[in-house]
Amino acid sequence: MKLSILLVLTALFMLVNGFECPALFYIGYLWASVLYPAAFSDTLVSFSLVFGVFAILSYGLIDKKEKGSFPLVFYLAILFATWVSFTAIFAERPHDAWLKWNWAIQAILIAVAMPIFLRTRAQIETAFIAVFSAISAHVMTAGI
Amino acid sequence: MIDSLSVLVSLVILVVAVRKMLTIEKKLPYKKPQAPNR
Repeated sequence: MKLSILLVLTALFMLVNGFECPALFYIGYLWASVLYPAAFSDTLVSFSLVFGVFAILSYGLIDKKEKGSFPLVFYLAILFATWVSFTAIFAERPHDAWLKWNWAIQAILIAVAMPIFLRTRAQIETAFIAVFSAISAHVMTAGI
Repeated sequence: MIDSLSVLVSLVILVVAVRKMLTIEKKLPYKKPQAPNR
């Protein structure tokens, strides 16, 4: 219960500050999907869902002054997402293929969205720290 | 089952990192360094 309260408070902190800096919605989505809080706490709503919806809505709020070209990996990831969907459509065993497609496409879309939402060096570094802190919660449990 | 202490530590790291980012991006009120008293 205490853990759930702490998690909700942290998520609220990210959510509130996300209105100042929309990249935090995306970072929060990364954090929630790596930490996977639903496995060890009972929160009313799925954090990933909330952060994901806000990240999509916040696309209009992003400061688009510095318009750089997207890296090659961005287009390759889109190509890969198309390829994954294409092979799932024509799969020999469609049921199993769509089950796998469901989580595979989410991971690819996170990679596609990364250069759209993370614009500055500080944001990229915070995304790294968010992911590593989420991994560390699981890893430290094994260590303690 | 995940350990509460490790989650707590990771949450603290996350909050500190986010606050640092907001400071760098000048989204938090930045405290101006005061001139030393002469």
